[in-house]
Amino acid sequence: MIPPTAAVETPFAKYPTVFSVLRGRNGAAREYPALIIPTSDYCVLPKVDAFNLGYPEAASVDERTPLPNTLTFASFNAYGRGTLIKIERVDIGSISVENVEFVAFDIFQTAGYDVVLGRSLLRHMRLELDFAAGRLRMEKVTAPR
Amino acid sequence: MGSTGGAKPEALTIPEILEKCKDRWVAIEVTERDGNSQPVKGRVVEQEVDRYTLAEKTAKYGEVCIFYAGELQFRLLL
Repeated sequence: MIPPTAAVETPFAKYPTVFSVLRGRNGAAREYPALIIPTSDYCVLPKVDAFNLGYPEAASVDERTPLPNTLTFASFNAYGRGTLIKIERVDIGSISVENVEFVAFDIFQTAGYDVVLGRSLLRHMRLELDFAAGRLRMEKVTAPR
Repeated sequence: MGSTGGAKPEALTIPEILEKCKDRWVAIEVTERDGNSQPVKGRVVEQEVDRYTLAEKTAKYGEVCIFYAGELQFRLLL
């Protein structure tokens, strides 16, 4: 087993969430209770926040002339498009991961969560979700998949 | 609604913020963290019903923590 280099253990209520700090290429930082969804290929953040973190190309997706880094994805009910960006650094407690791919995409506000941690970050982690106890543990490993 | 004014708002615990800003998106300046660097207290610097209005208002902040302070209206299917 690969030894962890850093770990975070924290309780969660209904859904597995953890406060995560996203540092953008303009030096700004935004922190969110990010929803952990291991079946999402990418992490997700709102387009307006991508803009505020220094990624103006993520603010709009032009259907006719999409940018080279436009990602088409399938969700449970539709296809969608978003701009793929690399967040300079994601900090979760003592865990730091650099150059993490996020899709700038607006999840409906009524969901109450609009930042998702998917496989583009979780591939650096060993993740334990204990729904019975309401606790999660993340360990950063040295060799991501 | 929106900016909390000129005086620096008092630091509140996360449960207090959830109660005080119920059903709004809030932006806080974190003032205290637990052993895992998870926020436990903060000052509410902006609050809005609309998430995108909040994001526009928080553009001026270098570092801020954003979350929804309310019960979800619907079941999640993500």
